[in-house]
Amino acid sequence: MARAPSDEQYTEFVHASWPALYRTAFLMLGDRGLAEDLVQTALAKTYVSWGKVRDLEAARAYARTTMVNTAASWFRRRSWRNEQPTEHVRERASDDDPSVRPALMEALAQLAPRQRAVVVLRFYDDLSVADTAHALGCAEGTVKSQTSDALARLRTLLGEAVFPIESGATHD
Amino acid sequence: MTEELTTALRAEASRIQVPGTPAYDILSAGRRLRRRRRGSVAAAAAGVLVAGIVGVTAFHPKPDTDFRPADAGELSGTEPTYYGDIVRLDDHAAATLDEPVVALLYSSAGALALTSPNDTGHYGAPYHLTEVTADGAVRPLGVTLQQVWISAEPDQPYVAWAEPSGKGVEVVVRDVTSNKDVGRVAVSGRYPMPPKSYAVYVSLDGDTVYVAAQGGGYAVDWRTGEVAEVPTIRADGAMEVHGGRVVDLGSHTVKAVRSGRVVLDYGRAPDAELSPDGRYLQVPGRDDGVMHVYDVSTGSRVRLTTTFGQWGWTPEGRPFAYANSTGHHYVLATCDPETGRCDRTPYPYLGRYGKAHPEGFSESIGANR
Repeated sequence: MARAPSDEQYTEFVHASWPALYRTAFLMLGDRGLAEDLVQTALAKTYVSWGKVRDLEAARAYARTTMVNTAASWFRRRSWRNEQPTEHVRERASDDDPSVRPALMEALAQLAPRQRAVVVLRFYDDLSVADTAHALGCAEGTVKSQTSDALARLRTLLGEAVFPIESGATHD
Repeated sequence: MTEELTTALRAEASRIQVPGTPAYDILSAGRRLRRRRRGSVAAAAAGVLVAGIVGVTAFHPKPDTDFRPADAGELSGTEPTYYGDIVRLDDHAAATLDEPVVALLYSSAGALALTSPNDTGHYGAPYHLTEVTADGAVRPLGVTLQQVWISAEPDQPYVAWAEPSGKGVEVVVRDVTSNKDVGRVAVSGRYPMPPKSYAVYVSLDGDTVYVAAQGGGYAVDWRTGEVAEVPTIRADGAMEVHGGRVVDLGSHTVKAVRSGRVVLDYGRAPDAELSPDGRYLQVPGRDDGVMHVYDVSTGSRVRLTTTFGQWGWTPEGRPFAYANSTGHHYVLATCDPETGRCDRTPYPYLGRYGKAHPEGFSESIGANR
């Protein structure tokens, strides 16, 4: 795709990509407004870079990587944690969508932002360690250690009834 | 544990209520971001030559130690730039507008800021036009628009846009100096209102406003009211006409807009932008930080390189780049389109005038990180 997209082509792409990207964004951020902002930003950036992607599938992957990159830049802001108190996040999640079971979302909210992103990308989006590291702009070793820390924390928060201790194969 | 976690996450995701797709807002944001990257920053050539810029074809930033944090008095001769709701006139003065700026254009009467009250990422209409003069005066023009596409030229005091008129479309040209409409011409087609995602694109080029609408492409003589169909103009995306020439991204060519004659074939590239007078063409290279500048008439080209940054055209038709040399030191490089020789000026970190913004500085000028 070596040209700017036509409006029709790009709009079709946006409609097709929005739901999946929004779900990932919401799982990562736990806030509807932020999730919408994040996905809108990522898709707008994808419009500008349309000429760099070779086909629609690559465009979807590019949009997701851009979304995660943007989220990572948000996390690096010193004020990010102060602006997103976990109690506020829990309240919003349950107010906005009463069908969302609070336990898992509350547990995700207890994770550090990057740990949460790692969990969502690896265990919801099923990305490899390498792809997760690329999306977050960090080393693969960091992804592995963040995964380990996050799983340990989730096990503590959610209990063995939900996540039984197991030995054997790892996820990736 | 991980299988259970995956199952739980997917179950949660299936219960998430996904809001409706704001396709129109996203498309508008994408176009606006494209415009910003292509020249929201412009620099008058300050004539400051920094030793170390060598060669006919390359511009390379100097080492970090050559730069100090920007101080008032070190810098000179810059055109207005914007960040958030601030229009920065020069290193000493800035004007604060009522709303965040989404685009900045240049007319002979002054800078024109297009603003929107939506600054949370949910960009969209309405948009408002404000003139910002060189002495910092802010004058709203009282114009409210539903789309982001407006057009002005640095050597004329006019701004053009398209607006709904009854069931049709009307092209409007306003004299910024008097703040009065000097031309209103109806063209075929219906004006798209949200949630329709397509736009009516306009491009002011001398006495002509070129219009790309769903009904087709038109050349509107705004002084006489004559309207002619122009098949070269397509309504499937943004277009800009300069010096009677237009870029056709699909065929990688520059064409004479009226006749459709191919003036230049610049080869396969994702983007291309004409200079304000239509004489030169910027085409990004395959690698990041490489920009080719073509002489459209002759086909000759020069190659410019920098670390990364935003490229654009000065109002005088010189290619420029705004780039982060390293760390927090910024440079503004303006180049000769024929020789490739660039003058580089230390540039202030625009973040000091603005507020924190969630986008990184590689996407918007001077964002705080």
